[in-house]
Amino acid sequence: MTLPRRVVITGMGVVSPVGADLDTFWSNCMAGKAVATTIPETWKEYTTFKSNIWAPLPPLDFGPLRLTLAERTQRDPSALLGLLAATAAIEDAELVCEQISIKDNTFSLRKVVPERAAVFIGSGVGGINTISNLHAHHLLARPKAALNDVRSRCKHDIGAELHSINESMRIPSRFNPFAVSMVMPNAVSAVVGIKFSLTGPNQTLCEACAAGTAAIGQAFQAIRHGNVDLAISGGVEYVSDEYGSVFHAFDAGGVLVRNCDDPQNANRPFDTERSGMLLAEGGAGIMILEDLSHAERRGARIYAEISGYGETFDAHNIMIVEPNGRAIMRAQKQALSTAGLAPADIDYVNAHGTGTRVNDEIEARIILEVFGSDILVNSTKSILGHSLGASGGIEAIVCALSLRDQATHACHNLEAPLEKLNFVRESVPQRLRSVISQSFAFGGHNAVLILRKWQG
Amino acid sequence: MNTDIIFDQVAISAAESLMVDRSEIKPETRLEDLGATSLDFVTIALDLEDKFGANIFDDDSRKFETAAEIVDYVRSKISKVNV
Repeated sequence: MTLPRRVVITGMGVVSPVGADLDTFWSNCMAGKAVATTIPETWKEYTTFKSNIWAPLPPLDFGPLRLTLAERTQRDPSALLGLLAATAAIEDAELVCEQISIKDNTFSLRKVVPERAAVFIGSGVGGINTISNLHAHHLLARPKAALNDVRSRCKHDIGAELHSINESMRIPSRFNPFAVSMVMPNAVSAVVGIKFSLTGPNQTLCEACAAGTAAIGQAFQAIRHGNVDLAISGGVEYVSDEYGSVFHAFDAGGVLVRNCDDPQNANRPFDTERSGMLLAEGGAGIMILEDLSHAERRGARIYAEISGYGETFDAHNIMIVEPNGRAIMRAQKQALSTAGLAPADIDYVNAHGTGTRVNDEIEARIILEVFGSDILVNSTKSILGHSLGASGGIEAIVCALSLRDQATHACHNLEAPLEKLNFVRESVPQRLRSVISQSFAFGGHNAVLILRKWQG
Repeated sequence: MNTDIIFDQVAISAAESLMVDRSEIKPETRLEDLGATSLDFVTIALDLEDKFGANIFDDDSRKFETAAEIVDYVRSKISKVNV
């Protein structure tokens, strides 16, 4: 019987509120430089929010992508974030891009067989920025024109009021005829596959906050079982729009952080004073995964090995993690079994750690029950907020960098832990052999990855 | 609006959309000869709408062959808007 192939990480690219390149991102994580600030003032014109802080992205430089006119005007921001992180990951992996078409701005990857290369990217909400903005245009363009007409026939003071109301209804200048290709959730995987001319499997994992982890897990399995040799995988999300619609949805659901008068201390995963999650504007965490022999043949630098994956479903409640954690523990056991490890072999868990009352309580209890009280635990969301489908990709990158550096970041704002777990309190050297990155999602999806230190 | 000004903008949009040098776009140039697809015509049309600030193309944008035809169409539409 042929042994399963080994899967290694050879390149990574990240876009996050605390950095849009790997070095800045990691140094800010290790320094605990968290981001939390008030939401755009214009959003408050549309409703009264219960929460009013979020984690915005830094200014992003798309210049290196040399986007064409079509790419600039016919891609949702989520697809552009994915492209940015995927391009960075490819460069980081030292894969050489060779231009195929100047007009279409497409490339092939030298020493990569296109049919043996896949794209697995997770996204929770796809092109929601486009949906929101174009829906506003669909709904309001004619009423705004009618309002404008009435205004022109009104007395000055009433006309001024009508003008003010009209101006508050912000809509794009036109309905974009490329809307369908921008809105569809699979656009991000398709855009990356087209850009680098990869013709193996191309999938978008749509599993809310577990999407990025599930995507890497599927890529891991595809390479491990010999279906492909290389995969671009991870998670991507962008949830901002002109009106704060997505923020409103999470706010109305009561899951966003409160205590917003002190933004820097409000986001507190695993703390007894936690009040909810800090929504991030978006993000992307993309990895280049390769079959070990494929990576070795081209002399690639290896960050870490992915050795295990488990995936289960709660079948319990569409918004709440199953309190007894059975399905999550089953996913952890699957991942451990794949990796041939026992719980005692795991040194660190990068937790889902959203900062909501329910998630953190159940997750902490599960970690304690399965792994005991000595295992290191942190929440990357304590630093950069929750980027939904991107979070699993970004957190897997944190695990790979932690294994490389034998140190990980502290759990930010943790003062009174809710369980007697070994939470990371400062960024100091640790012995990290195998680590877990786990994500849970609305719907009931659970995904668990195990990464192993690369021994050379 | 002056035809030369409109042509300059059409040429810039077409060159950027088709990733060719601006000098390759002449009034008589058939854009399909430079690889333009129906989607490229839409892309050019949207860019010109941004530049001229008017909803001028509707569904007609896929019927053009040469840059000069686009210029004529834009000029006629802009004159109607101005009226």
